[in-house]
Amino acid sequence: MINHHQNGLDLGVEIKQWVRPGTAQELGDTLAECTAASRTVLPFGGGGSVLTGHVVPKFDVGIDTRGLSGVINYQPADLTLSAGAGTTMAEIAVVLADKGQELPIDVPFPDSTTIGGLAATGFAGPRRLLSGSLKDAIIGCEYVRGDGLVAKAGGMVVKNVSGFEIPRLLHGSWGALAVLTSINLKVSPRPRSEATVQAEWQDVADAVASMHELARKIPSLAASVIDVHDGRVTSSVRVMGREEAVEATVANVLSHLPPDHSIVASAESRDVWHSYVNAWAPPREGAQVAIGVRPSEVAATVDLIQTVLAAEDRQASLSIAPGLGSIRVRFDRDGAELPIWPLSQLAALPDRATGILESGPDSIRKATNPWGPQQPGQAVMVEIKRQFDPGNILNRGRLFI
Amino acid sequence: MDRHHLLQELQRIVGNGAVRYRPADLLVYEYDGSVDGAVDTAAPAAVVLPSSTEQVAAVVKLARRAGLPVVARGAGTGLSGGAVAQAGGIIISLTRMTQVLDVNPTDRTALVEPGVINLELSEHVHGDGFFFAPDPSSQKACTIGGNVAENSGGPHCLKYGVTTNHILGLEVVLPDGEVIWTDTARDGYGGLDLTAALVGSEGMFGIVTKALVKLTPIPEATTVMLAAFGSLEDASHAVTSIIAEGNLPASLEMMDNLTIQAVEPAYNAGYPMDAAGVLLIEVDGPTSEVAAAAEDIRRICITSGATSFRQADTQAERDLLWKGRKMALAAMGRLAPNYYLHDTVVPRSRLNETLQSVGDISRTFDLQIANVFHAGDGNLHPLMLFDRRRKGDVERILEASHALINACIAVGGALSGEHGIGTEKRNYMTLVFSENDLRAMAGLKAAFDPEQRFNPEKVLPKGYMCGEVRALHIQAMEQRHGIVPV
Repeated sequence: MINHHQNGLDLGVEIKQWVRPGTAQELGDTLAECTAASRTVLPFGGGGSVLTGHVVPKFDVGIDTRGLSGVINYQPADLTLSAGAGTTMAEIAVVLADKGQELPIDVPFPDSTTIGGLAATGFAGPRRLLSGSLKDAIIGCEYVRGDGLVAKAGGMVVKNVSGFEIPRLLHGSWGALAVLTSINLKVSPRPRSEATVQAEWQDVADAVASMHELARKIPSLAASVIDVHDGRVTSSVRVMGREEAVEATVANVLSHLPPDHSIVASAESRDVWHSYVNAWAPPREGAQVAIGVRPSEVAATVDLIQTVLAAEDRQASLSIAPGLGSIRVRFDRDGAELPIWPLSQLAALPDRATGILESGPDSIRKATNPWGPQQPGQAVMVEIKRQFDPGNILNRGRLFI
Repeated sequence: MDRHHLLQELQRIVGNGAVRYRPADLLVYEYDGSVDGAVDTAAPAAVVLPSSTEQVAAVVKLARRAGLPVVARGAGTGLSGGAVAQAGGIIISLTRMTQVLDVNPTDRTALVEPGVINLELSEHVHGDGFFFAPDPSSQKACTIGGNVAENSGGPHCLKYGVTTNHILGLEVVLPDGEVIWTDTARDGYGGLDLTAALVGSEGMFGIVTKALVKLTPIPEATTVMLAAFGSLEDASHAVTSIIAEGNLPASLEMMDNLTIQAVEPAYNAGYPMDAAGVLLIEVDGPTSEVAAAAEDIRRICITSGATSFRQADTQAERDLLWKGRKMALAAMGRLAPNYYLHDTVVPRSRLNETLQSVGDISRTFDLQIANVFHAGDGNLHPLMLFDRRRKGDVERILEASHALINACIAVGGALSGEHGIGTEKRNYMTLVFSENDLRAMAGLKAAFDPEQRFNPEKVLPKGYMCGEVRALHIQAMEQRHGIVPV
C-alpha cells in the first residue's frame, strides 16, 4: 500500500503514521518515544529526494516538517536570516529579494524544496563555483537528535568558532543524525544584473577545455554548465554583478568562444539556470547518477561514460559542471530499466571519484549500492550515528551508515 | 609505561633529533600566544617533531598504549590556549611537515602539509594566479594545520569566508591511530561530512597531516580606501550603509584613535592622527565592478561624515595602507608592555552599542582599550593594554574581560569569531549553550575520541563533562564490546 502524502505525492513508500510537529520540543518528544519503541522515522520536507538511497518499503512514522516553517528572524543590516526548517526556499527568496538580498545558491523546485531538506541532502548547484554552497551559508541551527534531544549550535553571527561544527556536519547528513528544526543563514547582496552566454559544440572534450580556460582567465564567472542532450552539446556560462561589469565580462567571455554563440540577458538568463538546476534534482521518472571527480578529470571521465554508453547502446543525457568536477547522467524511463551502470565502474576512475544513484526504479536501487563506493571514515561515521541516533530510527535502512 | 621507555619509543619513531624532553627544551612549548593569567601554562611530558603521516600515526598509537593525552601544535600562535598541554602528555608539533605537495590550477586546489605557513602558501601559488583566502593577522607565522584546527578568519573573510569554506579534504590521524582521508566536497558523495566536523575542532577530533585546500583566483582589480571619521558612531554608520546598499567589500576594517596613536608613528601609513576612527576598505573583482563600487563607497563615507577619504591603487600604496592594520598588534608595544587581545562577535547592527560598552568598561576598570577589528562582520578585537609588572593589573584585566564577554553575549553575539574557545573561554560556554547543546557536542567528541585523550581540557566546560564523558564512555564500551566497566 502506498500512502499518498497530503499533496498527492506518490512517495513509493508506506508511512504508517504522519506526525506534524509545531515546535522542536514536540518533535523531541516524538523522537524520544520512537527511540524507546524502536519505531522507524522518515523526516520529510518537500519530498524532492525521497527516492534517493536504499529501498525501504515502509516507515512507522513520517515527520512532516512543514509545521516548522516561517522566517523567524531576519536582519538585513546584519546579513542574517533564520527560518524554520520546513520553510520553502521560495518563501525565503521572496523575503530576501524584498531587501535586495539573496542566498547565493541554486535551488531546484523552490516552491516545494524546504531549507531543512536542502541542507540535509547537501544539494549544490552550478553556482557553487563562485559562491559556495548552502554549507557555506549556514551559521547555526536548532535540531533534534534521533534520541529526542533538542539542541542548538552556532549562532546568529556570520563568524563563529564557539564549540564544534554540528550545523555543518548536519549539512549533507541525509537525516541520519538529527532532524533540523531551524536554520540560521548568512545572506548576500543580490546581484543587480546577469547574463548567460551559450555556445554549441561538436565535441564535448572541446567544450570542457573551453570552460576550463574561461575559468582560468575570468575568475568572476558565477557558473558554467555543459548540457549533452539528443546529440547536441551546449555550454552555458553565467555572469552576475553590476550592469557595467556584466557587459564587460560578457565581452571578455565572447572573445574566448567560437563564433557560434548566443547571449541570453537577464530574466531569460535566470530561466536557463532554473531549468538546468531543476534537472540536477533527482527525477521522479527514469534514473539519474551524480558523479564527482576532480575538475581536471572531467574530460577523461566523460569520455569513459560515453564509451560505455555506446558499447551498451544506451542513451543518456549529461549535465556537466567542469569547474566543479560534477557530472550528472540521466536516463529516461525506457533506458533506466537496464542493469545499472556506471556506479560499478567508478572504482576504475582515478583518485577517489564519488557517485550516487539519485533516483531510479526500485529494481535498480536494489541491484546496486545507491550510495556508491564506501567513503573513508566509516568507523567514525558509525560512532557519530550511534551518538546521535542510538536507536537507529532515523531513515533506518536507507542510508550509507 | 615509564618515562625512559616512553622517550626511547618516541626516539625510535621520529629519530633522536626530533624528540624534546629536557625541561629547558620544553619551556617554549608550555605556552602559546594566549595571555598568561587568562590561560595557564603547562608542561608536556615530551614534544615530538615528526616528518611524515606514518610517524604521526605511530606516535598517536604509542600514546594510546601509554594512556597519554596528545596535543597537536603548529606555530603556537594561538590565542586561546589550544596548543598548551593542560593535562600533560605528548605534544606533536607539525612544524617540520612543511611541503606544498601539489598545486592544480584547473582544480583550483593545493595539497599541503600542516606545517605550511599561511602566508607562504599564498606566496607559493601567486605565480599561478591564486591566493589562499583566509588571512589571519598571524599569517606570517601561523600554519595551515592550525588554521584548520581553529577555523581561522582574517580581514578577507567578509567576502571570502573562513577556513572551513576553503578546505575540500583532509588526511587525518584519528585518536586510535587510524589514518583517513575525508574528501567530502564533491557531488555524488555518500557519507557524513567529516571534513566539516574536523575544521574548527581545535585538535580534539584528529590530527591533520594533509589538507586539500581551495585556492582563490587573484581578482582582476583591487583598490584600497581609507576613510577617517570624527566619531566611531559615524564610522559604524558608514559600515552599515555600505552593506545595506548591497556592497560586499573584500575587507572592511576599523581602527580607533588609540590604535592610530600606536600605528601611525610606527609605520607612517597615512592614518590621520586626530581621527576618532578610520575605516580601511578593500574592494576587488572585475575592473568595472571595482571602479563603480569604489565610487559608491566614497559617496557613502562622505555622506556618513568622513573627514577625509583616500584611495590607493598601486600595489605599494595599498601595501602601506594595509601595513597599519596588519602590523597593529606589533605596534601596541609603543603604548604598553602587555595587551589582552579579545575576540568577540556581535551582530553588525549592534556594533555601535558594543563600542559604547567597551568605552564604559574602559572607564569602569580604568584601562586603555584600543579597538581594531573586522567591522564588516561584527568581529571585535578590543585590545586591553596593561603592565603585568604593576600590582593588580592582571586581576583588573580579567575582570574587565569578564564584563566585555557578558556585554557582547547580551546583544546576541558569540564567544569567539576567530580565536577559538580553547582553555580561555571554556567556562563561558554555559553562558551561550544549554546542557543539551553541550551534551550533543560531547557526544560528537566521544564519537571521534572515546578515550578523551586528544587535547583534553579544552572547549567543553571544566568539570562539566567528567560524569557525562564517563557515561558516554561506558555506553561506547557496552556497544562495542558488550562489557560494562566497573
